[in-house]
Amino acid sequence: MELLRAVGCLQYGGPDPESPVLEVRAKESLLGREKTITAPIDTGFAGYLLVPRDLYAELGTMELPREDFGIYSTMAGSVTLRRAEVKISVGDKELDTFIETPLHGTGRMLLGRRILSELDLALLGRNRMCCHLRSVRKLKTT
Amino acid sequence: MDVIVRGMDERLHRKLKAEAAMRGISLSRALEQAVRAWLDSRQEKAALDENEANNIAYERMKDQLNRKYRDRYVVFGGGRFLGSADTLEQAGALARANAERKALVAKIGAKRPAGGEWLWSSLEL
Repeated sequence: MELLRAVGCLQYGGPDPESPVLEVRAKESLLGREKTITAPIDTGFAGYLLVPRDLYAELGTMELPREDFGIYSTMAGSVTLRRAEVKISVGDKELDTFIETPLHGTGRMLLGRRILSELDLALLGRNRMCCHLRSVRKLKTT
Repeated sequence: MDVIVRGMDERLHRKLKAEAAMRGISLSRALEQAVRAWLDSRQEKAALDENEANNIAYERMKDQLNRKYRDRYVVFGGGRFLGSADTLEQAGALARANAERKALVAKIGAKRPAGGEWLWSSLEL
């Protein structure tokens, strides 16, 4: 067992019914460009941080080879996403990870499961708050 | 800023006006969007050409990279191999030192998840 404390909460956003969102700071390592993004969390997306094409043009300066692009299966067929190395921080947590954008199409902002699985989050649905949690202490179980 | 356009093809002008009305925007806003899309597409084409050249160079050297640079970042820019680095920051510095604003970066031997499932809810491309 573990005792966790909410260290940062953000009000849900977007169209009704609103979605849980997180504030993410993304930095690319070539030109040192940095952006703060508010992205909806999406447990239906297996990938990393999906961003629109224009934001990818700014932050995707260190792109992976084509063979390492992600191919996602959807109900409408497979979708290939370009992938680039970035560092992101959510609250006090820093991760070396990837941003992605569709090879074709404009894309949108989403935080996928490969990043969500690195974070401790709580959804306070009635208050429409998404909170980032930090471990306070381990509790002994009997 | 005010700009006067003279000698525009009449049919094109009519089409543009109709499209702008359909989208609920002014003619000047429609022209602005068209010019922006044209400029962006040129930049994007140049970037795609460079990406293509970097990918070709990477593919050509892949066997050699696998032998010599295991667990290191390799960096390609301008269609050529720029070198290798231990960390992502060093890889960025290497590209910067070669005056590149964009690079292909691969960590040799690293396992990259191929992709996965994308449920219907958020798919909007």
